[in-house]
Amino acid sequence: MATREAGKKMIMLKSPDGMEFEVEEAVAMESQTIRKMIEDDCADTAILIPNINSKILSRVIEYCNKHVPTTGATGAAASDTVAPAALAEDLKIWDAEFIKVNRATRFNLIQAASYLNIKGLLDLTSQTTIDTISDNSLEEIRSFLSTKNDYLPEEEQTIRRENQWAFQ
Amino acid sequence: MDSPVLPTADRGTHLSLLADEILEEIFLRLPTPEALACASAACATFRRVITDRPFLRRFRKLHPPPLLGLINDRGGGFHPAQAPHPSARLARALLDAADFTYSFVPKPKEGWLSPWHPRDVRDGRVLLDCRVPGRTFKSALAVCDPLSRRYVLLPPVPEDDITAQEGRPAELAPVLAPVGDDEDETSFRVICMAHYRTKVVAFVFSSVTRQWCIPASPSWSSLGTDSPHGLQNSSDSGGCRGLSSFDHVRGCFYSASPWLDKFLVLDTRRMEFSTISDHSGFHELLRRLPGQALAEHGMHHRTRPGQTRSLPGFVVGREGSLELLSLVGDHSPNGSFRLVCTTQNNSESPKEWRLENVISLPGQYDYFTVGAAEGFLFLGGTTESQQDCHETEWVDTWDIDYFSVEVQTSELKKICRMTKPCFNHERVHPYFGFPPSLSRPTI
Repeated sequence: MATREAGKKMIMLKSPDGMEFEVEEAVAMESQTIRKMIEDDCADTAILIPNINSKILSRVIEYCNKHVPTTGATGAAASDTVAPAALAEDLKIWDAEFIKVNRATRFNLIQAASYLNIKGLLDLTSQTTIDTISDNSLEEIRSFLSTKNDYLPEEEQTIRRENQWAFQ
Repeated sequence: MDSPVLPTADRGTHLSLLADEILEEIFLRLPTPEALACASAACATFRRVITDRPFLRRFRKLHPPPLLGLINDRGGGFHPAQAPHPSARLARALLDAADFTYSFVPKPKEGWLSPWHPRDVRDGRVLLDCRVPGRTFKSALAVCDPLSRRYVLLPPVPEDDITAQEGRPAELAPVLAPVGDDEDETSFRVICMAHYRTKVVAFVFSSVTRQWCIPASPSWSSLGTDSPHGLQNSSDSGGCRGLSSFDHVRGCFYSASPWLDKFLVLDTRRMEFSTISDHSGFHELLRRLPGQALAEHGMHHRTRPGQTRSLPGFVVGREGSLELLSLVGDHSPNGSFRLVCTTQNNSESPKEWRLENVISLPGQYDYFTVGAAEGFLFLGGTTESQQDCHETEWVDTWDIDYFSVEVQTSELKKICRMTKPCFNHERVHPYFGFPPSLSRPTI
């Protein structure tokens, strides 16, 4: 059930492996998917998030907690004393630390961000992946994205020829 | 009590590390078409995800297709961007794969000699016309995709509909309507604007209904103006050129060619004509400046290409507002050229134009404008070194260099060079797109 704590509306998120996370509604609403559920009044009780295990869900909540906009009276004192540019810089440093995870976790985070529709997290996770593979060879792209060359030899030749302009 | 469950995603419920939606999100952020093409060559799954039409649509939204080259309405062929232009390799790939001679489009009638001429280019499609011999106001029209070699021959605008208005129109100006964000990418509309004595009529062909209709036919007086001055191929004394030049900005066509003191606007979504007045007379003044006109130049030099009055171009400016770029310059030897950018203030009423920026153009060139699109103004220029020729050589060809000026950055880039004998009143259409392997048929 949604509860109230220190005047803030709380909401319960459940992962498929049975863990429950109580978060502020404002934090949960960083996810456009959850926001829509709340706005449509579909979220009186706990919300089960399929496909996202507790380990990933806790990281997602950690991200949303950090990125939820601080508002007026309830906001952190920081917003009154620290310039917005400094706050943005602080967030950037925090993001850089946050995304220092292994590849599998990052892919899970991309999937979660995509599903929960959290644009900032999606940008961060996908862009980090791109930054590590751009300028790499085809072989490295394959290995990095855990795929293998499944083209038939003649097929590969055709594809190569079609995309020759990109390889020069 | 059961908890509500978020609906599961469309594609599979298993947690594959490389589910398509992960790949899509990653590939969307690849910085260039080159990087995307490389990834598509890695494996069949990547290629399937990347060449999926909805994915390419999303990619295009984040990474607007680059300028690949120019299509000249007189010469017809495709002129690829040449090195050191950043699109040179992509443009070459397009040229190798596409047919810009339009040989795959059948002639409308046996015995017609005139080949297809491009009249407009947009969203990967080329609008072609083929003049009916001996008749000036009517031509056959076709729309084709030079890359996929698909085409649609348009039925003629019903003759009765044309002449039922006010006899023959002075001019018919066909354009390709821009495809809206939510519209089917393989359907298109052609708008044929007909210039009559007392009104303008829009004939619209839709590829869905395969029919022409007339959604708008306002009188010139209801638009607060008289009929256009000049014609597409012949200027009047003020440098007006009828319904010859339309720049597309966010679903609307803008033209400075019909009048000096007003601009013609056609909103293609609502199919409504309107005019914008140049209240301050600033743009008219710019167009009347001495040094702009051919007559000023005397008989000592041969006529340089484009040395009639250049038409201003409309583009989306820095703040997303409408900007108008006027070329101002001195056509005498070593004369300098500038682009004067004005922007329309959106908040005030009536909307006034204010001076936004002046861009100086590099010397050693004599410039003229050829059109505007996607935030770029396009210029042609002849080098000063081609200047000192004698009258006897007037039939010689000119080397014309074409440039793009990006309004956001004021950056000028050379696109390519064309060599031709006659350039006056030409219309050059930019081709923006992705290379073949990242394009889907547009028809």
